[in-house]
Amino acid sequence: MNRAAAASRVATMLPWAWLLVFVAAPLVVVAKISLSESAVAQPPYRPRWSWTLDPAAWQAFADGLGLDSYRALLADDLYWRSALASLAIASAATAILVLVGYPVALAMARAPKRLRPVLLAIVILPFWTSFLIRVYAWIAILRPAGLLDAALGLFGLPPLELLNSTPAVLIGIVYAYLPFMVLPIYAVLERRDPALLEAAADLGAGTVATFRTVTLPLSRPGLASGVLLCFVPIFGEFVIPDLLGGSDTLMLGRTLWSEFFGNRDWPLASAVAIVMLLALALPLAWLRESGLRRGDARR
Amino acid sequence: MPARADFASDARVPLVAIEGVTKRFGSALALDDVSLEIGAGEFFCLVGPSGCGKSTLLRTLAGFEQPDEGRTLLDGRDIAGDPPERRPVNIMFQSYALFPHMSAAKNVAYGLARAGLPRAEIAARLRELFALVRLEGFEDRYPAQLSGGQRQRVALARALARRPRLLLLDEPLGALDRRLREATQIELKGIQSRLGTTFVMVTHDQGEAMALADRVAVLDRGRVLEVGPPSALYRRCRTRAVAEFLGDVNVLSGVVVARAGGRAQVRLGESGALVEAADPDGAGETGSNVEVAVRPEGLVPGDALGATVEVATDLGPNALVIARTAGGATLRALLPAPGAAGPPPPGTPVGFAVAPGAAWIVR
Amino acid sequence: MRGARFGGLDLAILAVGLAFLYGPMLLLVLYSFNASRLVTVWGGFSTRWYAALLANEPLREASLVSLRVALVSAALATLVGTLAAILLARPGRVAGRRTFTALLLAPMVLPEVIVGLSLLLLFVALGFERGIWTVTLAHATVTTAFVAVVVQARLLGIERDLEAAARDLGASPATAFLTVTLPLAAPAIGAGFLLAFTLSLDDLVVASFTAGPGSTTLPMRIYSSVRLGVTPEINAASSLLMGLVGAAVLVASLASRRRAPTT
Repeated sequence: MNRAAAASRVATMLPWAWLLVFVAAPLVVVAKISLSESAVAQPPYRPRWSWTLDPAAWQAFADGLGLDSYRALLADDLYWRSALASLAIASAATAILVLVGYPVALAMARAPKRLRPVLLAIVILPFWTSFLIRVYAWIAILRPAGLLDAALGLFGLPPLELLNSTPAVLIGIVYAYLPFMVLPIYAVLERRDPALLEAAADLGAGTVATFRTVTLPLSRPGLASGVLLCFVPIFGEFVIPDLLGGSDTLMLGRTLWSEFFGNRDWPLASAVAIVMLLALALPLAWLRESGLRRGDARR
Repeated sequence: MPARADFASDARVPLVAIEGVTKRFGSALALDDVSLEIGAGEFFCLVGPSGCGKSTLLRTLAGFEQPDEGRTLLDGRDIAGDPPERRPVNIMFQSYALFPHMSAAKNVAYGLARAGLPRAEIAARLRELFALVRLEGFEDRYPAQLSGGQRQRVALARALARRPRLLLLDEPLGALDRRLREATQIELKGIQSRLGTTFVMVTHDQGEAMALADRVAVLDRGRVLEVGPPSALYRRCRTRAVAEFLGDVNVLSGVVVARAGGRAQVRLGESGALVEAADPDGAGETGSNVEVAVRPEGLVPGDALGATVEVATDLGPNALVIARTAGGATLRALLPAPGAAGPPPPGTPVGFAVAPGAAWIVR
Repeated sequence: MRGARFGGLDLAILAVGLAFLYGPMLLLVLYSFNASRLVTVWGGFSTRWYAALLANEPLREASLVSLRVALVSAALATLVGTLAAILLARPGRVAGRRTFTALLLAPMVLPEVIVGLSLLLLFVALGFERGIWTVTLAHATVTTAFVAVVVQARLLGIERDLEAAARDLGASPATAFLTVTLPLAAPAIGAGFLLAFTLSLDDLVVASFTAGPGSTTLPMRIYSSVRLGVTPEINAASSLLMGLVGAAVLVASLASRRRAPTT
C-alpha cells in the first residue's frame, strides 16, 4: 500500500515537474531575456543568468534589465507592420477557412452513416503527413511557369505568377489548416439529432430557415473551436509565409525568426515573442475556458 | 401480521446495522441520520423517488462513500475504514459496469483471480456461476456481443462470484424491458433464496419492491420514512407520503367518532358515511380530524360514497373507474371486469363502499 | 425534406474539398517519377530521383537523426502525456487544475516560433549543449500536449463505474488501474504515440531553434534545399515520407478495427 501511494505521488509529480521545467520556466526565461541588452557574445545578450543566492549578484542582474528591446519594437515600424499583417492575414485566412470548411463539414455530416468514418479518415490523413511537404507541394504549383500557370496557359489565360505573394500565403494557409476547421465543426454537426431537422421542417421551416435557426446555432461551439484552432497558430505562422510569401509578406513569426537567426538579436526576438504572447493571451484564455467547460459537461 | 416490523422477526444480531448515517455532498444532504438494520438472508429493498439517497446509501455500504456521521456495522464490526476491496460486500451496478475488454468468463472470474484462487477452482466456480444464471455457452462472448438481459446475468454472476455476505443491487432490472423484467424478478428471487445471500436492492419501482422484498425501506430526501414488509406497508403504512409512493390510493378526510382496540369509526366529511378504519398507532383520538387511506381495490360497489364516472378503463381482469364526488374529490376504484358491455360511460352515477379492513388512518 | 438528404450539391462540395486536399500531394508524387529535371515538363516515367535519394548522404543522415529524435521524444511524450491525462481525468477538485491545464496545452496552441525560442533560451540558460538531446526534449515538450488530449478524451469516455467495479471485486487502486483502465486506454495511448512520432518527424520550427551542429533533422534538410527551389529529389523524398506515414496510419487503423468488438 505504501509503495502504491509512493508510485501515485510520483505519477502526479512527474507531469507537474515536466511542465514547470519545460513550459513555465522557458516562458519566464523569454520574459527576462526580452528585458536584457543584446551583445556581441555567446550567448548574445547581457546580463547573463546567475544561479547564485548572493543578493548583490541579483541586484546587478536587475540593474542590467531594461526596456530597450521594447523601445526598439515601438521605434521601428517594421514590427507594427508585421503585427498588423499577421492580424490581417490570420483574420482573412480564418474567414476563408470558415467559408470553405463549413460546407465540407456539413456535407460530411449529411453523408450516409457508413460513409462518414471513411470521409473522416480522408480528411484527417493529410494532417498526419508532413506540413512542410504539403506547403512545398504548392511551390511547384504556384511558381512562375509552374503547374497553375501552365494549366491557365492551356485555356489561353495569362499566367498569375502567384508564388511569393500574399495570395499564395493565403492559399497555403487555407490548404494546410483546412482539416483543423473541418474536424471540430463536423464533430458537432455529426452528433446532432436528425429528428431536429425533421422537427424544424415539420414546423414549417424551409431549407434555409432550418439551417439558420437550427443547424448553425447548434454548430456554434464547433465553429468557435475551429476558428481558434486556426487563428492562433496562423497568427504566428512561419513556414508558409517564408516559403510561399514574398519579401514584403511580413508576419510576426517570420520577423521573430529573422531577428533570431538573421540578426542574432535574442533580446529583440524575445520581445517579439512576448508581444505575440500577450496578443494571443485573450483568445487562448477563452479557448481554455471553453475547453474546460466541454470537458466538464462530458463527465 | 404486525402492522409495522422494524426488525426481522428473529432475534439474531443483524448482518448490517446502519446507525445514524449522514452524508453531505457540498451543502446538499444526501443521507440524513439514516438508521436501518438488515438481517442475514433478507431480501431488503430501498425504494424512493430519484434523488432520495438510496443509491448513496448503497455506495456507502459498498465502500465508495464515507459517511460524514454515524456508523455502518457488518456482523457487529464497524467497516467505515475498510476500502471496497476489503469488504465481504459486492455490488451490481445499474450500468452493470462490465469490463468491455474482457469476455463474460473473464469478467466473472475477475474477483476470483483477485482473491488468488487456484485456476482449477476458478474454472469450477465459473461453471457453477454460469449454470446459476443460465448462461452456459456464452462464456467467451464479450459484453458488446451480449443482449441486455445476458449482460445483466453476467453482472449478477460476477457480483456473486466471491460469495459475498451482502450483495448490493443498484436498479438491477432498470435497463430491461417490462416483459423481461418480470421474468428476471422471479429468477432473481429464486437465486436469492437458493443461495441465502443477503440482498439489498435499490429500486424506484414500487411494484418491483413489492414483488421481491422481504422488507422495504421507503426513503425520501435522505430520510427513512418507514420500514416494513411490503404487504404491511402497502395496507397499513403510517404516513400519507408512503401510501402514495407505494401505489394509487384514495385519501378521504373525516372525524373519528368512536374507537375500539386498533380500530376507529370515522365519519367521512363529505358524505357523512361511517367507515371503519384500522388505526394501529392510535393516531385518531375520538373527535379528531383524520385522513383515511383506501386502495382502489378497497372500494367496492355500495352507497357510502356517491360519485359520477369521469373515465372508466377496461384493464382486462378488472376495470379502473375514476369518479368525482359532488364535493369535487376524485376517487379511483378497481372494480370487477365489466363484461362484454364494457365499462360505464362518463357521466354514469356510481356508488362505492369501503371493503371491510381496507381502510386505515394515515398521518 | 429535400434539405435533409445527402444530395448532388453535397457530393460536389466533398469532391472539390477532397481534390483541394489531395491534388497537390498527388501532383508531388506524380512529378517525383518525372524523368525531366524541369518541374512543369513531363519527361517520361523514371525512378532516377529515388536512386539519387539513396545516394544522398546528408539526407540519409538527417533521416536517421529524425527517426531517433521521433522515437525517443514520442516515448517520453507518451509517458508524460498519459500521466498528465490521468491527472486531468481524475474527478473532482484537483489542486491547480487550471494552471496545470494551461501549462499542458500551451505548447500545443502557442505559435511554434515562441515554443522553439523559449526552449532554446532555457537550454542556453541551463548551459545545455545543443544537439540531438535538446531537440528530443523540445519535441517531447510540444507533443506531450497532443498525447494528453487524445488519452484524456478516451479516459473520460471510460465508464467511471468500471474502476469502482474492479475495486468492489477485490482489486487495489493500482490493480484496478492496471487491469481495467490501462487496457481500455491502450488504443488511445498508442494513437498518442503515433501522433507524437509523426509530429516530431514533421517539425521544422522547434527543431531549427533547438538543434545543434550535428543534429540536423530531415525537415531542416528539406527546408534548406526547398528554399533554393523545387528539386525532383525532394519530390521523391516527400513522396516516400507520405507513403510511409500513410501506410503507418493505415496499419494502425486496421489494427484498431480488429479490436473493435472489445471496445
